[in-house]
Amino acid sequence: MEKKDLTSGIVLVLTGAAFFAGSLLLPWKDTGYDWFGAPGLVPAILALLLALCGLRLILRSRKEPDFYARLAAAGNPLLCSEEEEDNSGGETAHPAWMQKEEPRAVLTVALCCAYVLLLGRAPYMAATAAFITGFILLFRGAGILKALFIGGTASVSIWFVFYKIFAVFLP
Amino acid sequence: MSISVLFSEFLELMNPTSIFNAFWATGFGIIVGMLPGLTATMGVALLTGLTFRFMPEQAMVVLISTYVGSIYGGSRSAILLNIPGTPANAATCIDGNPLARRGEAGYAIGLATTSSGIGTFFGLVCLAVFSPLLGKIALQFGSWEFFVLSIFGIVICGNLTAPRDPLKGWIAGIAGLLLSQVGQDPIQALPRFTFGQLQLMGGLSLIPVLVGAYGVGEIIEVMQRPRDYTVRTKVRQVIPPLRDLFRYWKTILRSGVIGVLVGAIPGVGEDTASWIAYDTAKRFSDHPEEFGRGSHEGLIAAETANNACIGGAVIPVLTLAVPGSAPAAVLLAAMWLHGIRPGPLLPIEQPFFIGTVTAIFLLSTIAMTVLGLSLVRPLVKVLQVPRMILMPVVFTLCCVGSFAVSGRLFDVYLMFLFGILGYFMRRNDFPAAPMVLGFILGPMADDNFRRAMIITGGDLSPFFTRPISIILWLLTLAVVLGRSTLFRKMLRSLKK
Repeated sequence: MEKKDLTSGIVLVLTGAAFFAGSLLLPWKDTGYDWFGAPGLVPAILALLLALCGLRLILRSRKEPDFYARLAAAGNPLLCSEEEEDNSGGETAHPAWMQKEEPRAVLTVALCCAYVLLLGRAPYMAATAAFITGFILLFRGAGILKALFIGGTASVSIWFVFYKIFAVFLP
Repeated sequence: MSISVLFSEFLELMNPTSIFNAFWATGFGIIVGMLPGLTATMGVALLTGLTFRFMPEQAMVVLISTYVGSIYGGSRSAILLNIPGTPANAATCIDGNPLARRGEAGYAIGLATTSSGIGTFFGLVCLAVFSPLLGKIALQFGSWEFFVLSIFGIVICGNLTAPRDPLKGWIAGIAGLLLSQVGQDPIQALPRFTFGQLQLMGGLSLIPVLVGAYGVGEIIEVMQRPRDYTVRTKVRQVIPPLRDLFRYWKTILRSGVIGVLVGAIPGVGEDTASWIAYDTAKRFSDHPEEFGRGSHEGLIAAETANNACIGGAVIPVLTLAVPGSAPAAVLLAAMWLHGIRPGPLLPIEQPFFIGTVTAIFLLSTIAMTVLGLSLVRPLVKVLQVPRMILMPVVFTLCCVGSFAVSGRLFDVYLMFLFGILGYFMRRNDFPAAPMVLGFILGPMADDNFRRAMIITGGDLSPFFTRPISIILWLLTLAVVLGRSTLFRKMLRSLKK
């Protein structure tokens, strides 16, 4: 986690610096008020605070490498430990790559990204049916026929409920 | 608020449309709450977009019922799977699951249902009694107090939602405040950080940001876990546990008070309320050794507090336009979308609105209790739907919900980007609640800070000299110093 904190700290300092620079580029004079009414004032303060917090995170990750170990040892009544949440005793996925977290997360993001990009470019029901079917198949949730059935039924149901009944625009 | 107003508002709500909406939305909320990975915030955010075309009162019926249902629904998976359906039910796992394991799942569900019902009822009573009182105090607030209140909210929310490392909570809050600065500024309408993009002129829309941070982030997190959950406990009949309710009335009352108080603190929410109530119940219990082994008292405390917190969280929404929890933040956004302006002027502009909200709470409490006690087996069936089938459907709903408000694909892209951001925040231990609160409070902080500075000609002193500001600063300072190692060392040395 200390390594992650270092990365997070660097990202925060850079983001803060970018927003601070952006704030300075906003008009500070001729706004009808003095500097204290300028539109860049609050973003500049916030950006500075964000960068300072990021800096604190960087320094902590370098100076206190045992920070999280100490926290774990101290315990906290307001925390639910990870063991408690994950103690489901459920089924484990079968293929080897599915037993690792990273490939599963990447596949989820990739499928969702493809669907988002498809929206507006393909008919809504076709895109939705393809996404749901593909998702189920790639994560081995069901066979081809069952996945196709679920994808088709879900997309028609969503279209009917939201477009026809709720009168909501669909992408 | 008089009982007659509440009664007449409730009678007005007792029409087939409201009852139908309350029941299906509570049912939807229970399902969202009981499915691990889907939270109350996500459920309410999703329906905010989808009920955009509803009449304001009916939209409130749907959203409040979803909120109440989802906080309760999380107890199902906590009891049956030992996985909290929402973070608010994490404390429920400790005693709920041991009860299920020893064959008392039905009894545990009955206990959770009635405790949640009583908790929600307690919350709505406090909402009816304290909202008008706080509303009167809120009328004394000027730009200075509103600015300090937003800082206080971020600091305390960051502190309590990231108890292990408050720095990360504060960072999330500041990031939320900063992201809310994108778009035209509220005083001169000058574009900020828009890069010439017309779609950014109105700022980042709240619903896509919320749906992304809570919904998409959760979908990725749920899907990345290699292990799926399975229901192994059989539930035959749910028994309303009247004997226990009479026996532990003190615990119920104490947990209700804790729930409402924690709820009223900006941005903190139901999970903290249930942990504090659980811990307090254990301290005051005659049988603390039973806690963690299936204690009825522990389960009652956790479930009463998290549902009482809902009413508490809505009090600052109505009176100050400051959300008490993350789902309440969405509720606030939904009110804005429907042309309702919560805040100190609400009792003047819409004198019966607080009564209407209280009556909606009452209706949803009834719906929750009825559905919770009757639909046992169908709800267990929902838990058996594999996540690889459920999650893509949920993602498509997230897209529809984000698109529905403005009809822009840009909002769907925004939702997806915030989903990835939300996922990385989780992986790095940054809580999402302070970011959401910061995003809501950002325009209020910016507008009031600059207005106050313009009024006083750049003089900062009123921020520190007005009575309400002084109280809020002192509380904020106490929270920050309380977490400082140096301050703790000083206190220890002073004691010695």
